[in-house]
Amino acid sequence: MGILLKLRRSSPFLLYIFTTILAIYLFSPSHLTTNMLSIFKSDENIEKLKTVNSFESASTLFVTIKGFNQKNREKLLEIEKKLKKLPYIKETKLNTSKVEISDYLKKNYYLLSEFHPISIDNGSIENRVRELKNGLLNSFVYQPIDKNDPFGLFKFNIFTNSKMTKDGFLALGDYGYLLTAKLDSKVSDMESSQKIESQLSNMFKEDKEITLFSTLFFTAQNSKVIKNSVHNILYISFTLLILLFFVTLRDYKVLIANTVTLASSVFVALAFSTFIFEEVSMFTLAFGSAISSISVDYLFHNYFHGQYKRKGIDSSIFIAFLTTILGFLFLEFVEFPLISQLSVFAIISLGFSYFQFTFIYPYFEFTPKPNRLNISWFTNLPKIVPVNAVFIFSLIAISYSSFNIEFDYNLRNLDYKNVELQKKQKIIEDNLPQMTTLLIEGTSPNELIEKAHKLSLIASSVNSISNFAITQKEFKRRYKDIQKYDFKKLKTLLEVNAKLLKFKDGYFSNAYKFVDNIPSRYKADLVRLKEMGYEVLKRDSRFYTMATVKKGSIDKDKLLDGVYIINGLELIKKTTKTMFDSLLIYLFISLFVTIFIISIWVRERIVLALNFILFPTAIILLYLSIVNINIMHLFSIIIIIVAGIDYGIYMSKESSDKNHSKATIEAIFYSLLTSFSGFGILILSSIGAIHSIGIVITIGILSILFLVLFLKRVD
Amino acid sequence: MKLLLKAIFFILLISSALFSRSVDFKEGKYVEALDIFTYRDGNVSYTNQETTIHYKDGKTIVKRDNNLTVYKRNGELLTTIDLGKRVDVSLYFKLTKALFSKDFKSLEENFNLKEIEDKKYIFLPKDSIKNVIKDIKLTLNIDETPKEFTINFENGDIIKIETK
Repeated sequence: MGILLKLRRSSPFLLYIFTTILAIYLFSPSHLTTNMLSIFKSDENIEKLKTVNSFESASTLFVTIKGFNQKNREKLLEIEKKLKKLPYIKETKLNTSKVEISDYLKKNYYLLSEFHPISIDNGSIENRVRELKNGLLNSFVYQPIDKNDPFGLFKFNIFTNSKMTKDGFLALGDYGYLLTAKLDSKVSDMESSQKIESQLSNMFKEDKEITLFSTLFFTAQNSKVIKNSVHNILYISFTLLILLFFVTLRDYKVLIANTVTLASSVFVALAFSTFIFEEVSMFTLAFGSAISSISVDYLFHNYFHGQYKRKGIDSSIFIAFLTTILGFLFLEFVEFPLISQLSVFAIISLGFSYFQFTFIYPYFEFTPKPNRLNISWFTNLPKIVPVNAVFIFSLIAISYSSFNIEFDYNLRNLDYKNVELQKKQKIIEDNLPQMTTLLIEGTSPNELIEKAHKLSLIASSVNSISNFAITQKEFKRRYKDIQKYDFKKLKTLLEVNAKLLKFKDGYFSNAYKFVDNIPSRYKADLVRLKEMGYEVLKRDSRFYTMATVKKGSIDKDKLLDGVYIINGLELIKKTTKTMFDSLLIYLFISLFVTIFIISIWVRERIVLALNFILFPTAIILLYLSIVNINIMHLFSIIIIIVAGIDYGIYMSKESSDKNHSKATIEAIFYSLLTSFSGFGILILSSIGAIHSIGIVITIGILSILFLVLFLKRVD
Repeated sequence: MKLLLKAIFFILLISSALFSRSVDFKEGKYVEALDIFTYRDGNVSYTNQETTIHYKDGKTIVKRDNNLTVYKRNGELLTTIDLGKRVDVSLYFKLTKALFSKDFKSLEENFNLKEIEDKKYIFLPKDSIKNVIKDIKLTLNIDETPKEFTINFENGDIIKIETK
């Protein structure tokens, strides 16, 4: 009997240990990702962006100095020398007169060239040989004869972007000479980005004239700034929490227990989520932790109402917990990976916290310390605001805002505003030719080349794989044309006329010999093409390549099948819109169910309870109708709604007993303070995403506090 | 009056020397294909922005920014070339300008420089320029100004420029 009792007493602890061990076993940290795209529904738009992001084509480093003069040229040449010694610099471009011709081009030169046959009759050949002689003697600059192809029948122009050169050097518009280098690192690879960025920035930090830029620097610098900012906020947050528990509550045991509970709940939820989902976004972890921290109200409600002394289960807390869990269950169906991940995370974490606060904490018999800070002056403030007035105001404010709110789809606004780097980016972007990026899709590399060639017929400014590769059909045509042409006769006439015009004997003996060696088969060498900057990528048994075209030179509606314009902002906008439709439907169902349960539980006090959801939402939406709403705001509103449900239930279940009412207000007050210390404090951050969370949570907390202090109670 | 004209002429001479350099030269060319030597006299002048070559037999070539413009004796425009599309011509101009102005630094990218004896240098090409140029020899005057330079091409052609 005694053993059974002991086992019953210790069973919550055993369950706690078992769950934690299971979580450690299931935890798959590799499923955690910082990839922003992982939070979006995987539709065709996001798939296109994912494809573009998986191209290996290394990021480019731009180096420029304002002004075209010899000093700057020499400086850039020096920099190029230094860069070449670095292991992660793949290829540099500055001096355009120095062109490395790859083996692929040498081998396929005549096939890739345009073949312009001339008529083979003695008169015209004689004229052409005479022209050659004249050129040698009288041309204004030295003009040697191409002994392989003296008549220039094969024309191949490697230099496609001729406008980007000045004095034989690469030029950045009218700004200055430009040195570019390929960096051997992916933009998403944080560690190598940071290493490269710090080394390069240190190398040139003395010389303020040099503009050094790569999009990779954003990844590197911003993540460093964000990390520092988050660290600082964590310190402030932790100090505030310690102050809260030590100075005001004067109960360090509750602080320790609460910390252990929240940490273990977040970990268990994270572990299970990484087990269930292939990719768990860092945002899930961030928002999930915020939602978990809301569960601290279960603790405070029990604590201030002396529930841990009395034992048993507080029904209000149970209903608050149940309503929240049900709400999240419906959100599970939203076609928005972040939301469905978040609901799984929230259900597990809230469940585990509730379990600990309800079944484990009673063993510690936590009770409020008599010497804690007296906040009765605070709780006794006159309750003057009528419930119905707040309700009507909230409804009007929500409908007004929903007509005036605009969504900010620009994910860059969520990042840290790196002004210095943005300035450099502007110099480069404003002076570079304005290009549109295209993604070409096909079932084989040959189909890609075919489409790229078709594309170059629509827009002449296309820079794509078609510059250096031909299709099988085109190869057959060119091969046939060359084979058909009578090179033998051409050469005989050439040599006869050369002799007559006193060219040295045998000077043209090698002319057009290469025709015999033209390969009878052609295959676009994907490895070499990639080295030249034209990568072909295979993804899910489809092939892809990228192309650029002058902005505005291609009509969106006249694009070929399988050719897409890549504009990150537009694609994300399209997808976000469809995700929001789905979110709105389920949010509505979820709210409906929540309200239904609350109304059964609180009956005639439903308006009072709903005020705790509607009023904070209304105030937040009013604010957002001024500044535009982003994705982070939206998720933070969900957090405030979760908190509002709990507080609404507690407040409407207040009895007329003054002590009971005081305990409820105290519990909510400390819950709000904890939430503010944990997440409202994020308002201090200068980083868009973090600041957005902070501002919404702070406004929400202040609105709830306003209701707690001034709202008239219904009797 | 004569004195004034002389003074103006003198000032013009000094100012043109200050802002630009002007060199008379004799260009000899051996064309291997025809086994012929040709000669012509000319004058080259250059500033930071512009290089002008004037041949005594008529043509004038002006290189400004990325364009090469050729004029006939009577000043009529013969042709304009976009140097971005003619890397060979662009390189030739860069080369001659660098040799005339003794700007060895800008040649370092494409050539290795060696001093063979006092005031005599040889430039050996690097990379793909090797396919076109065998070497360049440069001799300086006592006052360190270029005396003559010879470009030996891989195809057997030779261009020799002597300053006067």
